[in-house]
Amino acid sequence: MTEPGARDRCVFTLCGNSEPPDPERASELPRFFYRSEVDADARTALLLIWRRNHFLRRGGAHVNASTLIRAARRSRQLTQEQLADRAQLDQGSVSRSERGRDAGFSTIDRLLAGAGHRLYSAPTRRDDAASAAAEIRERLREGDKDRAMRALLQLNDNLLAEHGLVRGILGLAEPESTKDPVWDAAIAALVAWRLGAEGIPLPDWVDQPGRFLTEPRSLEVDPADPVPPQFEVPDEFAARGVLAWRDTFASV
Amino acid sequence: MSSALDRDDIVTGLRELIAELRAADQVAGIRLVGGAALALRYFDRGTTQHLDSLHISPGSDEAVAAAAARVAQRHDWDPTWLNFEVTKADALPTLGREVEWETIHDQASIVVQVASKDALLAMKLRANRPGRDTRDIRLLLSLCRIHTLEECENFYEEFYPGDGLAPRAVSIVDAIFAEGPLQAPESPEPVVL
Repeated sequence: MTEPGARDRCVFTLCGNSEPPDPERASELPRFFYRSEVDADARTALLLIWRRNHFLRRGGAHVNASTLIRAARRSRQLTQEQLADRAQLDQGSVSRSERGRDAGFSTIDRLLAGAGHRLYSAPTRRDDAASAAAEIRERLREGDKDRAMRALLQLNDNLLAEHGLVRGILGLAEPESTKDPVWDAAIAALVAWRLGAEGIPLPDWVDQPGRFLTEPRSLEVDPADPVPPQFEVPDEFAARGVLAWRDTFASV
Repeated sequence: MSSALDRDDIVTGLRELIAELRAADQVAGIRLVGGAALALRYFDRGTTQHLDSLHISPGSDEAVAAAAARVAQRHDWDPTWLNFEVTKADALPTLGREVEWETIHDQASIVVQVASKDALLAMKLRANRPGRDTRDIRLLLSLCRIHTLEECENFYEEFYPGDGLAPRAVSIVDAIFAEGPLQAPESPEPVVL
């Protein structure tokens, strides 16, 4: 594994304007943000995150810009027309960009700016919770819960592979709904579990009401899956009403 | 970074790994278990995060890992896409029935093998993680022509003598047999590395 500072950088978007971080306010940040292993770029990014306390999403070069744009727009509860108006583009451009048509960087940047977002880099190439949610939603739409589960497990592995601030970054972006409440709750539970294990502050979205089930349910990946007893369910899953076995997220 | 590998990715990765090892004049033996082995040899399956590998002599783990890292860099994969963690996990049956291996590549002192379906089923039964292993267990039971819980328990004890199926595994197997006759999965195309 290469050193964190030498790793390729992916791009993520951050809610808020583009003003640079104010080093004078560094004292307001928790000590956590200034652990020695955290490099300067991650600190810079997290400073902005801390100030805005509202994060959207990131995507690597292989992650569709469409996902970024759609999530940014929805997080601000804008219609495509409203975003087009703010970005001074026509509605068709927004629609095409969100449908995955290749768009130039300047168009992507204008659309994100219209939704109050901008791009930053983070020292990781791993996909985040928002990317995992997008894949889970697609798999569920296809009726393939097995592959939806693989995507959730991949998110678990990605979170475990990173530490400190970078792990936090993978969980910060608010995922779009998968259109299935139990999977939405499971994604939140997984992020809360893995970030909590390192004492990383949790993003607001993991505790939003829509991430909690009123009646406990399992993910129902396979009809032969047994339902776990309470003591086998991680606390973060139990709190959100998701009946998932702890060791399902363990590698053999 | 794409860490989720489908069958095509696995085949591509192994081909390039072999080429890298050959270019470095390395001798190597790689044995695959887990999801990669299932996808390569036995049935269509969702993505796998890693190729769980055992390295057999001759050759060194370091040389294989270095070659794998070069392949990973080329494809923007996780550098540990092929790893030897399973060796440390003590997941491979060692005390009972011997694990058989099927050779899928053997050229110029580079050998790639996958575990037999029997061994893979035994390992899956041992792990029995709901949501993760259940479908694999169902399909492997069919491939191994095991039709009752009793047959399954006897089969398991052949690999892990003195060690019965865990209650959760029994529950899964029971539920699978309660569904009715097992459907055999379609075999994937033979892999050419």
